[in-house]
Amino acid sequence: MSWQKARDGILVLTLLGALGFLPPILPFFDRPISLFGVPLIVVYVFGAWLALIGLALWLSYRLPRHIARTGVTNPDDFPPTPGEGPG
Amino acid sequence: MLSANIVLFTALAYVAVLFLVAFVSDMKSRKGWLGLVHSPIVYTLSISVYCTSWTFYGAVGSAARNGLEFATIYLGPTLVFVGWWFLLRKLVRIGRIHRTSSIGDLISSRYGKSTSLAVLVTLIAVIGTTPYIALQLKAVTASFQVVAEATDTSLLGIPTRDIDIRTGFWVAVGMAAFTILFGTRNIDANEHHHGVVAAIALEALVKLLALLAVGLYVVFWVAGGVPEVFRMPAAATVLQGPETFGTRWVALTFLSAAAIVCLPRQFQITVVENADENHLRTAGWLFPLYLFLISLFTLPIAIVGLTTLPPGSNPDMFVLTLPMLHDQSALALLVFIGGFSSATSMVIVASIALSIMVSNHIVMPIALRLPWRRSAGVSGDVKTLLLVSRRISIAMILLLGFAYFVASARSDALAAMGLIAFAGVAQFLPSLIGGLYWYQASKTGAFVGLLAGVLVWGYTLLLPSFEGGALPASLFDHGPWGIAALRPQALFGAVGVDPLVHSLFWSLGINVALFVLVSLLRDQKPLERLQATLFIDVFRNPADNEARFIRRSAAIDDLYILAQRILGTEQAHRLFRDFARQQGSRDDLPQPDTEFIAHLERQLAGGIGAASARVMVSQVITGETISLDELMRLVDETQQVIEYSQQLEHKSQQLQTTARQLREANERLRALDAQKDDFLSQVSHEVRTPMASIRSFSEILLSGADLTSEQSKRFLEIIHNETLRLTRLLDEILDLSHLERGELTWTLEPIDGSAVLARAIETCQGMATGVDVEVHDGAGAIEVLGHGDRLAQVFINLISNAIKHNTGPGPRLSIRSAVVDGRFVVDLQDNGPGIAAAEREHIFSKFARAWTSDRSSTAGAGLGLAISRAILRRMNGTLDLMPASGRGACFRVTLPLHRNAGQTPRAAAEG
Repeated sequence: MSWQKARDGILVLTLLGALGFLPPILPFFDRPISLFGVPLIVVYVFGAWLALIGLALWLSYRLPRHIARTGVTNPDDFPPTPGEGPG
Repeated sequence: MLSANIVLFTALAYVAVLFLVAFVSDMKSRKGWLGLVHSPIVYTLSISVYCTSWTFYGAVGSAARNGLEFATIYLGPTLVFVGWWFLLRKLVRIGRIHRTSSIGDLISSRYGKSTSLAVLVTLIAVIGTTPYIALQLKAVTASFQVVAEATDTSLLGIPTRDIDIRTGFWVAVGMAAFTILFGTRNIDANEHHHGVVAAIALEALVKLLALLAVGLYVVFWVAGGVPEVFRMPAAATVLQGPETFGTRWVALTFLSAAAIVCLPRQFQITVVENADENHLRTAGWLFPLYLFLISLFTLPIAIVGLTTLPPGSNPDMFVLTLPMLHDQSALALLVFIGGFSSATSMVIVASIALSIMVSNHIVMPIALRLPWRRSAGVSGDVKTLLLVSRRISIAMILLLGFAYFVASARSDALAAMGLIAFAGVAQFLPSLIGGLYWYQASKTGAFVGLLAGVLVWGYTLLLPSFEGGALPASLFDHGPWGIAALRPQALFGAVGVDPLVHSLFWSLGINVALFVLVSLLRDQKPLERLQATLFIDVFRNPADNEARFIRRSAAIDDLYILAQRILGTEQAHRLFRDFARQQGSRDDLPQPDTEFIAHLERQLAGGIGAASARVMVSQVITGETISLDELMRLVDETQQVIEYSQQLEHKSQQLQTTARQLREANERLRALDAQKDDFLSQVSHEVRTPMASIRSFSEILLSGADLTSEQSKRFLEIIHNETLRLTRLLDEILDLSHLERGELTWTLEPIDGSAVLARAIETCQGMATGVDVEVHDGAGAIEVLGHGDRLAQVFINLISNAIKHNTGPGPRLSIRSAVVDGRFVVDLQDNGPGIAAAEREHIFSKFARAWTSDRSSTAGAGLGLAISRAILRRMNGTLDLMPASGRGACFRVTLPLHRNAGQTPRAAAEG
């Protein structure tokens, strides 16, 4: 999977998560049904939440790492190449 | 039951551990050992400072009252962190590049390093946070009294005596001491507090463990399993609250999402304390997981508490009173420590964040404007001023929180403070998001929107929280001065809406509207425009670019004195030396060029805020110009890059097409080249044969052998004939080459095609002895555009070919002419051997002879058909070999009739 796809995936995941936790999706599960003795709405909220976290974990490590330019982040540690920084 | 002394001792021991952890981490990080403190896990745990005692105790209370609604407080942040790549990453990157020290600094810096905006943000943050701190003090005090009292009523979660002010005071003092000790050790250009972060992370673990322990105990010990919990009668009442998933649900989810970004303490931990942007990758899923775990048992605890604890119990204390009901002292103590952790971590981080904002945005600007401070100062004086003002600020903030706590100790006003604070800081959201993604967002717009939003928030949400106190009830029932439209909880007649939703709608609505409107109406100042570009395009433009737009100069000594005043001698020296090395200078002082001044200003901004840093640097620089042209170019560059890439794509497609065309052209050229070579070798061959005979006969004549005159004459005849043949050949070649190049200048004129054909047949009559020629003239007298002699040449060539090469018995030639579709068509069909399939394609090319087998010396050079075709083409006609049908070959000549051609005389004349 290319990182652009992972990025788009993260966007879709966020939007889907927002939709899934808002009306009208949420009240759809608010009905007197029990799964393993737990009300459906509780199972849905916590199940969807966990799924969201799992997918975020899966996608996050497909995004590129940030390689910090040390010269920007730390005044004590300029990059050794003379031509790169200010000056 | 626990005695007060045991609880107190445990709490003190825990505090000692926190001090130790903070101290060790601080020492080690100073020595460059970052290890665990510098890990994404610690970063994530420290973000959980979001979960204060309000969520530690209050979430269960909220669940007991409103069912699943408590989850919204965690779902909003979950979504923001899952989408970290889009907002948080940008915030962290900007925070690092521009050395942002607080959310006020970020907003002020984005809008042209405005001091007034920074002051406004700071004031809002203080107003919103102080009651929140009071809430924490109250939670610690109340939980201490509940857990340490040995009476039955403590199980109700309501302290028997009044809230003990003294406990609250000492808690406040302890937190102030910790915060001052570890939060204001130094003025750091990066504003990192490793000790504090380590302690906060430890506290995050403790509060999670405490809640999980209580949850597991309650679910599996007290209730006996998950299904049993939801079989309790309270489960139905909790989960079937009316209108759980209405507008309030949406508003709370949005509010919590805004709070995780806008709360000053969250900004401090997530952005300012961030040491590595890659930590966000872990926090993106681990922090939601933390929130998930911490809220996993909230609902069961609320249900079991409602069922088993006596009626009238305080649901906000269920977490603590449930273990006490079952005499689990150790667990109760753990819960108390957990609640203590969540309260203290919030207070510590919030007071650090606020003290930085107060010292940078309120104290510094005032100090800079005082006349006796403007002139020369001694080394480190600004640094000392900052540190002292931060320490005082921390003490003052906690004192303010304590005062608030004392004033409201007897009322329930604090309970709602969590959401009120959220709604207050949510006012930052429009300016923040607009500042990060909208170039035109201007300082005036942000200021007006923020101010209006906060005023509406204060009027519609904060003010009603004091209801029943100093405020008259008539204000809420009839509005100020009896104007019903201005009732705080029913603004402009919006009656019957949830107060929080009501306030959020009006405050944020007016905030956004004014922000956008004023931004559109008022122009930006050059510095605002520059900062907007630097912030919005932070992933494209490193901050070094700043030097392109602002031209400044200053004396290096002035700059050095300035840096010393703010950073202290040692750090200033290091900063200057490093930059001098960077410039390639052996000296310890760098060239004070524009780049260095920009770099220095950013470093100073890390300590005193962007607005104050700009003011201080401006005092020593001599000339400043902001190059607007450069700035506009930068903005355009982004657009240009997009356009270029589109153009490139287009160009590359064109290139591909061109390359294909070139390849095809090249293939055609090669074929032509091969044909030319062929042609040359054919010509040589054709010339060589007559030359050979001419040469050999002339040699015989020259040798002077005894030749009879008759023989000599015959030889000379042969030589003559061969010469004629040679000349004819060369004429034909010339003729063909002229024809092909269109150089022949004969004009086309209307001629009678049938007459020309008849003349040609007549001419060939002599040759045609023994051949049965039948003519079917189906065309009659018709006019075609052409050249009579040339057309005759074509017919003669075709007829003579048909006669010459028809070697079969009973040779026959049938010539039929007709007019078909406005064209004069002549078919010449013989009954000879025909043309082999392999030869059909080449028959019209030069020197092609389909009849090579019977080639005789009188045969043509093989140019006849090629010439005929070229001639016909000149007359807009065609010459084709018809598809083989039975025996023999059939050639077809077609020419357009003049009547038709007459309609386009010009084309015909040119053709």
